[in-house]
Amino acid sequence: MTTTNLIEARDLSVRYGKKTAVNGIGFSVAKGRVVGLLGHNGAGKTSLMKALVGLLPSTGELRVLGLDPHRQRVELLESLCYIPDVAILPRWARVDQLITIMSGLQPRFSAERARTLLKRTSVGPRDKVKTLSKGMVVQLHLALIAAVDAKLMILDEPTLGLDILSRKSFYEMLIDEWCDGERSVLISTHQVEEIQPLLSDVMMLNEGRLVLSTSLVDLDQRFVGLSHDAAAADQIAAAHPLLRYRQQGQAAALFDGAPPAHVEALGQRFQPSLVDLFVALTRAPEMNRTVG
Amino acid sequence: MHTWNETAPIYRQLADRLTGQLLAGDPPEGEAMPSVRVLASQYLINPLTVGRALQVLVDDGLVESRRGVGMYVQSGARKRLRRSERERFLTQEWPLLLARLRQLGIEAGELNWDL
Amino acid sequence: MSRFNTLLLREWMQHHRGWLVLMLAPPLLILLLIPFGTVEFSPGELGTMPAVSLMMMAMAAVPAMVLGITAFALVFQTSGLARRDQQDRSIEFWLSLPTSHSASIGATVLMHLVLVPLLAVAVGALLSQFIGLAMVWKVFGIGAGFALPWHELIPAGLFGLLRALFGVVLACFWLMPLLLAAMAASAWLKRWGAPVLAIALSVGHKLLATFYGITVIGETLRGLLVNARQAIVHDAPPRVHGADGAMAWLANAPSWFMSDGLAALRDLGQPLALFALLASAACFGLLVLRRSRNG
Repeated sequence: MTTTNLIEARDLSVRYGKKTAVNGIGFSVAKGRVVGLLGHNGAGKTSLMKALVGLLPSTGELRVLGLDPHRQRVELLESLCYIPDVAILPRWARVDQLITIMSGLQPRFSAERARTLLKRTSVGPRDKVKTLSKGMVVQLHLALIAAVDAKLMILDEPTLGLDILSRKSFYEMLIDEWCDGERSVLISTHQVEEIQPLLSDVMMLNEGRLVLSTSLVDLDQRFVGLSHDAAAADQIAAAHPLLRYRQQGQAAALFDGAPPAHVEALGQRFQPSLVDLFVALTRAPEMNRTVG
Repeated sequence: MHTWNETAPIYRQLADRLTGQLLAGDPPEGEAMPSVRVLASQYLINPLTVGRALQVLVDDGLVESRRGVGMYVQSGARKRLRRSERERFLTQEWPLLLARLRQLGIEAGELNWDL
Repeated sequence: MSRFNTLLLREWMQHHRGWLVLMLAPPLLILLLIPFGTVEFSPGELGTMPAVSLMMMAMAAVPAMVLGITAFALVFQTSGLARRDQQDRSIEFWLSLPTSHSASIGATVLMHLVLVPLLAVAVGALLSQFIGLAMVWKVFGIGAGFALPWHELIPAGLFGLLRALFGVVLACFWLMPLLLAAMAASAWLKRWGAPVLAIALSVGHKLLATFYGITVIGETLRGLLVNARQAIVHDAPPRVHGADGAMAWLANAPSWFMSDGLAALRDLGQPLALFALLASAACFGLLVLRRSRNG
C-alpha cells in the first residue's frame, strides 16, 4: 500500500452489533480532495466513519494518515478532525472555556485562529453553548475544528437540520479554510444536490457496499444521460440503462458508459446529476422507478 | 447556490459563465483573472473544478497563465471571443431563429429593434 | 498545559459552582448564625469547657462537617458520573479529541473522588478558624480570642490538617473499589447498575453465608469501610479535662497526629489492601473498556 494517500482501505468490513454495516470495501483518499460520502440511512456511512477514527473495530486493511485507527487512535486524532454530529458540544460550557479546553487537548489547535474565525460569526466568547441556536452551535463547532491544523477532516452530516443560510456559511468555511490542496475532507450528507459543486470525489454506499468511488472528473466522462420521446422507450430500454425515469415531464435514461451510437441518436444527451446517479445506483435493483 | 443545471459538467458551465463575463470586458484585457480561491469562494465550487474551468479558458486562448503571478486575460481575447461568438450565432443560432420566424410567418419589418 | 491537567480543569469548569456551594454554604451559614445563637452557647450549658477546648472543637468539627457533607454528596453522584457525558451526548465530542480513555476516566475519578474531598478538608480547616474564633468571642468575649494559646494551636492545627489530608487520600484508596464498582456497574447497566450491584452483593453475601457459611463478601466490605474510617482517624483521641488537660494534649498533638497517621499507613500492609488495589484496577479497566466500545 502506498503511503501518500491519506486514507487507504482494502477489503474493509465494519460490524456494528450483529449487523455488518460495511462489507468488504476498498478505496483511497488522496490529499487535497473533498470527498462526498453518499448513502441512505443505514447504508453504513456512520459506521465507516467511526471505523476511520478508531471508534469501531474493523477487519481488513485500513490505514488513515499511515496509522491503524483502532490501535493508534490517540495519535491519529492529533492530526485528524472528526465531527460525529453537530449537536454534541457540552452544553454547560462557555465558548472561551471550549477554546481553553481545545488548546489543552488538541496539540494542533490554534486559539488565535479560532477566535478570528468566530469573529465572523454571531457567537461571542462568553456565550454558553446551551443558549446558542442550533445554527450557531454548528458554526461554533466548525470554527473550533477549522482552527485545528489537521490533515484530514471527517464530517458526519454536518448540515443536518440547518437552515439554508447556515449551510451556505458552512460551505464557505469549507472552501475558504480547508481547500488548500494539502488537506482533505470526507463529508457525508443527504444534501446531494447542494454539495455536488464542492466535491472533487464521490463515494456511494448502499447496504454496506461501495457502489461508486470516483472523482468527479471521471464521473462527468463516464455516465451519460439521454432524454428521449416515449416512442424510443423500448429501444432505449434494450440498451440496458442503469435507470429510466422522468425528468421534467420527459422520459430519460442513464447509462454507465456511452450507449451505442444508434441509441444515442434516439435522444438528447445531457449531463446526469449526482442525485440521478445516486438514485440509479442505490435503488433496489429490480425496480425501475420514476423520479419526479 | 443552485445555479448549475444539467446541460454540461459544472466546470464547463463555469467556463461559459466566465467567458460571458470576458465578453463583457470583465476583467479587461491585460488584467488578472480572479484567483482560483477567490472564484471558488465566490461560486462555492471546489477549487479543483475552478481550475478545470480556467484551463478551458487557457485552451481557448482567452487567458494565459503567467508563472508565479497568476492568470491574465490575453490581449485581443475579447476581440477573438466576440468574433467566435458572432460566428457561432451566425452559423448555428441564427438559422434556427430564422426557421422559427418563418414558421410563425413573422416578417423582418415586424421586429422591434428599439428595445 | 498538559492534556491531563486540561481534563482536570474541565471537571472544575463544569462542576465548581456545585462544589463551592456544598463546601461553603453550611459553614458560612453557621458563621452567620453565631451572633444570633441562643441557649446552646451559654457557658452554663457547656459546663466548664474552657475557651481553648471550644476552639479545638471547632477546628475538628468544621472540617469534619464540610468533608462529611461533601463526601456524602459525592458518593451519591458517583454512579451518575459514569454516564454524565452520555446523557447530554457530549461523549461523542470528548471521544473525537486525542485523549486516551484511561486519562479521561482517570481525570474524572481523581478530581471528583480525591481532589474535591481534599479541597473540602482544606476549606473546612480554613473556615474553622473563623468559626472557632467567632464562637469563642460569642461565649467568652473578644479578649478571650486573643488569649488563646496560638503557639500551640497553630502547629496542632497544621499537623491535624496534614493528618486529615493524608487520611482522605488513604480513605480514597480503601473506598475506591466500591466507588469504581458502582461507576462500572452504572456504565455497563445504566440506571440499573447501582441497584443491581447493591442487590448482588447483599444477596450474594446472604446466600453464601446461609448455605456455605462463607461470609467473605460482608467481611471484605466491612474491612474496607473500617479501614477507610481508620485512615482518617485511626485511634480515638484521649478524653481531656479542663484547660490544663487541653493544653497538655495540644502540646503533644503534632506527634499524636503523626503516630496516628503512621498507624493508618501500616494498615496498608494487609492482604485486603492488595484486594483493594486489584479490585480498583479491574473496575477501572471495565470503565475503560466501556468507553472504548461506546462508538
